[in-house]
Amino acid sequence: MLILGTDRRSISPPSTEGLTMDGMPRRHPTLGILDDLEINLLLLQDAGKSVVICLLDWLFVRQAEFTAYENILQDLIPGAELMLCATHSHSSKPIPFGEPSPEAISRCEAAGTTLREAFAASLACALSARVEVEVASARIPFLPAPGGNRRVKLGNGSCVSAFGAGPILPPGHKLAGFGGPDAEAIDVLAFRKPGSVNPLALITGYSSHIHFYEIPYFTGEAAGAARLALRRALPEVHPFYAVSFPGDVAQQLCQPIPHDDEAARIRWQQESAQTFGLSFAQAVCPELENLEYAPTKKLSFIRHQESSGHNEEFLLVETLQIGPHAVCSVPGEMFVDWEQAIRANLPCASLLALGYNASWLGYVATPLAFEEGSYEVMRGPVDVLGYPTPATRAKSSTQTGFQIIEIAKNQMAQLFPSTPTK
Amino acid sequence: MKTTVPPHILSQVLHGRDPVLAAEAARLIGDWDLQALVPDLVKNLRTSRFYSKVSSMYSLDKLAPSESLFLEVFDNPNVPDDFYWVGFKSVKTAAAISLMKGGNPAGEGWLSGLAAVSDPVVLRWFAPALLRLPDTPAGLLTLDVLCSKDLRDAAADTQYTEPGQLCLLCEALGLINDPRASEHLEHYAKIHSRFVRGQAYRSLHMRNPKAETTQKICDWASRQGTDYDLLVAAAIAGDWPKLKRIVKEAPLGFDRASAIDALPASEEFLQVVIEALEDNDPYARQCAVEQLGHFDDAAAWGALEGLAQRETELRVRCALAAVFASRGEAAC
Repeated sequence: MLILGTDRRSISPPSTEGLTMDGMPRRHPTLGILDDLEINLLLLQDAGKSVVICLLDWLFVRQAEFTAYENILQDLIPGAELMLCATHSHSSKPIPFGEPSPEAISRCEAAGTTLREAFAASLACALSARVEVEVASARIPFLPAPGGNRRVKLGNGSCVSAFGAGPILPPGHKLAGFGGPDAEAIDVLAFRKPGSVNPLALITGYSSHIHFYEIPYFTGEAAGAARLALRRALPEVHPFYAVSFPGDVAQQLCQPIPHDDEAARIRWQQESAQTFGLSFAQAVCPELENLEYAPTKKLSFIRHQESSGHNEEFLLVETLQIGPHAVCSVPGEMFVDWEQAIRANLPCASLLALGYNASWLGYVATPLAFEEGSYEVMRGPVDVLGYPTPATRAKSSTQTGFQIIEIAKNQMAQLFPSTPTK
Repeated sequence: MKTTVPPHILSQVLHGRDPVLAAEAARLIGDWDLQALVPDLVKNLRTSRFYSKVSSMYSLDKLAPSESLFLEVFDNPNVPDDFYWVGFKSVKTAAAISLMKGGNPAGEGWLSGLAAVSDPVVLRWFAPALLRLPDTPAGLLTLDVLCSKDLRDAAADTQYTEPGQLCLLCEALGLINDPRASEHLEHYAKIHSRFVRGQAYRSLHMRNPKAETTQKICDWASRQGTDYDLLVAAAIAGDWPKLKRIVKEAPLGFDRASAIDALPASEEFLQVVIEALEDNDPYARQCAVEQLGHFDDAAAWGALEGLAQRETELRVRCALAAVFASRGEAAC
């Protein structure tokens, strides 16, 4: 029988003075914490096998951090497997504002310590609160899609980014449309005690960036708002929010920032996050009544890990089998087209993808997108441009997406051999 | 079938929530000379918070240039200030250029300031527009300034070397009065992006429209082999059978649309453009609508009327509204 334990707790920095957040430039130091950053941890066990899914409100996870968390995990549960992913909040990872003072550096280090301590504490709590569960899945339409494609194609074939307040437009050019598909569905994996009506825990996955603009606060952004809305709607459920294939999708186009003053911008960010959270919960909650749960005994896991040979980055792809369901962790910021590729001829009942695993390969675009341009692809492709300077941070090539999808599909084929993948 | 209802759809979309369609509606109003909608363009330029509202300014440039309005936008773009990126600067730059077209130098200092820090808004996105000004400020965009962030320079910031910006650089290199520009264009005619190559082909041909240039471009395009390379080369070479084949057979809708755009408005191609009204790609249908709008032919207008009865895509409906309104009719 499948055993589940969960925990969540704050990972907000203990002190925020003189800090800002990594991910996009800020004009001012942070004003503090708007809502708590969280670690959400889920432990699954069956027949001696243990797997931990850990989602952090953090910009991204690097290989060294992954190793540190693995060490903590092995101390507590020897032999356990780890799927560690970030939500890519741009209002999470503290860095010093301006010239780094020793105090600011110390506060950033304290935030890292908080994170590791929270992981260990969450793990211990999850271990102490385990129950038997059944599992169910769903892929829920989310329309009109709040996560819209944020690349816009000009009449000359190139693409421009449209985050913030729409695309820029040089004179004499048409706007031919968006550069790719929107994110039109939410994936759900639900766990309940046998015989219960409502789930105990709910992992959701949606393919969109979660930030709106450079808000001067620590916040869980849209992911935090979605979890909060789910908690309000279903107080007994522990919701998890994963970001799946968000590379070229964002929620910023849902409304342009209405005013220029900072207070209005902060209000807009909050309202936008709340609006998203509510619509997310409204899409998910009614579908929970239709879930078909089943007991499962099968818990298997495959990890592929290799050096990318550059910038100390590594390639990590993991697939977890929970009965007939698959959970894949994938690197970086994969374009939403790759979601369509991985879903073709699935050998399992459902797939939920966890993006932003500890393999930081930046944006993983399609070959055509690399030719079209836009912010997302300006650092590559490395197989064509090489690695000109460390500052360019080029990491992915025209083949990276194919490579990741092939690895994930091979893992699924091994875990679900009765239905061969094409 | 036809009515005298004014083309409300264009103003609805112009003031709607989709910035891409709004910008297209604004462009259509300018391209199809719809003077009645000038007040809508003015309102959009003043009130929209989207960066792409500059499309209204470009159309006002054509239909009813207003120095006071452009000055108002230059002083207060009324868009979010993405201070570390290009959106806010792009609106202010567009206004500065529109002012300069009318002889008002209010924006020159702003443009010089951006050029001094090699800002991509001036070095790339608006470089062709600046070079098209009757009096581009001296020294603002020399070849050395334009190519100071060249792809071949390993230290070049990636922000200047992504294909979208290189397309604009290649467009600018076609306009600049410096013979060395052709060398740069020949380099860009061979890089990894078909869209940069395509613009490099066009600019090279514009600089030197001789048979040997055309042949060189056709050879390069043939080696690359993508439909986009081939259609640009075919348009330059006047290889209409190849262009018609791409309109009918290219797997990518954007390639079919670009091929339709590249066809001359000649009776010889009327049937292939009419057939393109059935294309499953909305942008390809939009291009076909705008192409047919240039024909003075009953078959063309009959086909457009037929499409107006069944079309559901807003992008295409806007194009239909514009071409019919330009004839004093309404389609939607």
